[in-house]
Amino acid sequence: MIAGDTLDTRRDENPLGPAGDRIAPVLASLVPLADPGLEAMRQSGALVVGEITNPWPNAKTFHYPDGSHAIMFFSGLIDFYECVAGTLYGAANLDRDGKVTNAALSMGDVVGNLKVLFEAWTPEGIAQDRIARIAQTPLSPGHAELTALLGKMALSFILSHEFGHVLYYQPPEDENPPPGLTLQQEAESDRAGSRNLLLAAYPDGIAQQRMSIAGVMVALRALAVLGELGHKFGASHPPPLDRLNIVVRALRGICASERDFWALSTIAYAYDEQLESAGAKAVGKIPPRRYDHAIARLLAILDTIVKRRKPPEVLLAGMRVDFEGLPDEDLGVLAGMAAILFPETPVKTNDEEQDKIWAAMSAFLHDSIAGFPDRAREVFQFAFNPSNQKKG
Amino acid sequence: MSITGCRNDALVKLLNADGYQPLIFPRTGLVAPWVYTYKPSKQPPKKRQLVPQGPLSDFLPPGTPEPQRRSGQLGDIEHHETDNKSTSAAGSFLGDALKCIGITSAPKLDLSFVDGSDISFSFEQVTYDGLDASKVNLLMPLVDFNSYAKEEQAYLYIAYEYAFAGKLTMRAASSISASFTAKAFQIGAYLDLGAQGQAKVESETTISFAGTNGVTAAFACKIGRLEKRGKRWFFFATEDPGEGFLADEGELKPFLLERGVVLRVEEQ
Repeated sequence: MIAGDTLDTRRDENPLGPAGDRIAPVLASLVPLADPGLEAMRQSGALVVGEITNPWPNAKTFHYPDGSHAIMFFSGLIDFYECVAGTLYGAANLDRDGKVTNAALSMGDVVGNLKVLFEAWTPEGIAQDRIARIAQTPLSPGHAELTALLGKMALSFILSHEFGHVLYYQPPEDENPPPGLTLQQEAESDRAGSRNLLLAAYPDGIAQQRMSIAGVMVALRALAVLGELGHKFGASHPPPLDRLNIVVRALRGICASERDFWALSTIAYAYDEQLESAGAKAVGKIPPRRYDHAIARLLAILDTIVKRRKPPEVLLAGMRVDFEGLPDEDLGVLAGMAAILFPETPVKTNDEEQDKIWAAMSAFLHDSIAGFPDRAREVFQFAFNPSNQKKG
Repeated sequence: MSITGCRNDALVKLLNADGYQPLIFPRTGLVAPWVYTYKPSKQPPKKRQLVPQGPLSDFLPPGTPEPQRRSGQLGDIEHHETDNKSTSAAGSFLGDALKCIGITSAPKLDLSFVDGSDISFSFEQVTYDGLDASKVNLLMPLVDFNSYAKEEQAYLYIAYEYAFAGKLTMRAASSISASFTAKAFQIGAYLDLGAQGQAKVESETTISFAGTNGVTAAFACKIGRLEKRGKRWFFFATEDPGEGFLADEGELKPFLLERGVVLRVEEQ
């Protein structure tokens, strides 16, 4: 069909790099596609997906008169997200079952890399000579594996978004051009893309689910940071920050509970905060303090403490920035969400192992509140008081 | 897909950047606009074939007035040379490039006298002639491609401007060998273009080739894609923008069948 032939032509024009088609494994991980119509098209060759060598940071869907569609990922976009993922994981300390592998990059490297990435986004596409300047400290095998997974998840989200362009496409029936997606449809493609990615990760366990949410959020936060740094994105799509908020709401909506959502999004928020903070520093601003980052941090710290990977005093040390820096209202939201996530009587689900961990986290938090700094203690005690919870 | 020369050759890239699709035509006397099909052949290995279907006027009602033509010199392309080529690549390129200036059969093309010197080529006496793309679009309400089956219509294209060259020049690199200089003056022993053309030694490093009949031949075209919406055809001289994950930030490039290559037009 024309779609497959056109993809072949584009690849004949500019052969792929040594890594081959970097989107092939991304597509493979989503097959069979969640939408039966799309899956049927894929199997018949009416829907093809692949990388093409093009410096532009974009992915595009093309529609052809024989009813076929081609989703083409430009190499510039893949290079961009590979650099983002490498930078984020390069600056992370990995703790796998108590065995810690230290970060290869510093926070300063992250800030520097983001600046270079922004400068690499030129009118001619992603400038390879500038990409090459990004700190490329060799990653440990563990870091490299997770970098690849985060990058793959970010691209999976974008692919899932492009599927929306196929689903919404209407062949022209009169002389008017086929309508492009409206802002609402672009937003719905983001919603559907993030939902489908998370659903596809369910059979593979909680680690994959966490990484899928991280991929979605990193994909959009990286663009939002570029926007903060001054890049002007076109008006045909919602601004990246709006898109990020849309997918977060969508992901929250399909999680069975607040506990599920926050349990799955700790990695995502950690990188979201890292990107946002690096972006702020890159333009000389003080990184913002946000309650959602604080909630994710609280969960992550409690998790490491009850699993005995960190000593109990890490709770106060780790949360100090939030207890001191969050405005009153946001501190209230943090405490309120903590009260919902860690009720006096632990919640029982079908996952006994997780229930035990959450019960231990809850007990530890309840015991720790009395030792919080004054302002945080008052707010948390108020939120955790059953009579106040009933008042809402 | 019949491709000649070297992929992404400097001259080909320059032509592409100016919106030209380099082509080898089996005949001279073409006048744009002209309709083509470009599609995979039905026979293995299913290479893409560019086949002329006839002048656009064949698909318009009789008596349709032709829009105003535009023509002129293409100086930038005239003086632009190909990448340096080895002897074997130069021989292949020369044979194909001669076809571009109307010399379709040369009895003898022996470049052994080059002795390993790097060789580059350029087209000279370059002109263009055709219609502005916007003028082609004005004809679209009148066009009738119903003689093609619906699935065939998806592969129709219109070449709306041709670039012509009157002369091909072959130059040796500055560090030419002594044998090249000496032997180049005995050119007839190595190059015989038959009745269609002649080779001429211009200097110690340069040989030129031209057709004998004085006819300039097309070596590239500007071509656009067609799209049928409802019952009406539309013509586009720019590439399909597609629908992106992000909004487009650059300008659309001119439409080309395939970048970086010279396509061979196949008569059927």
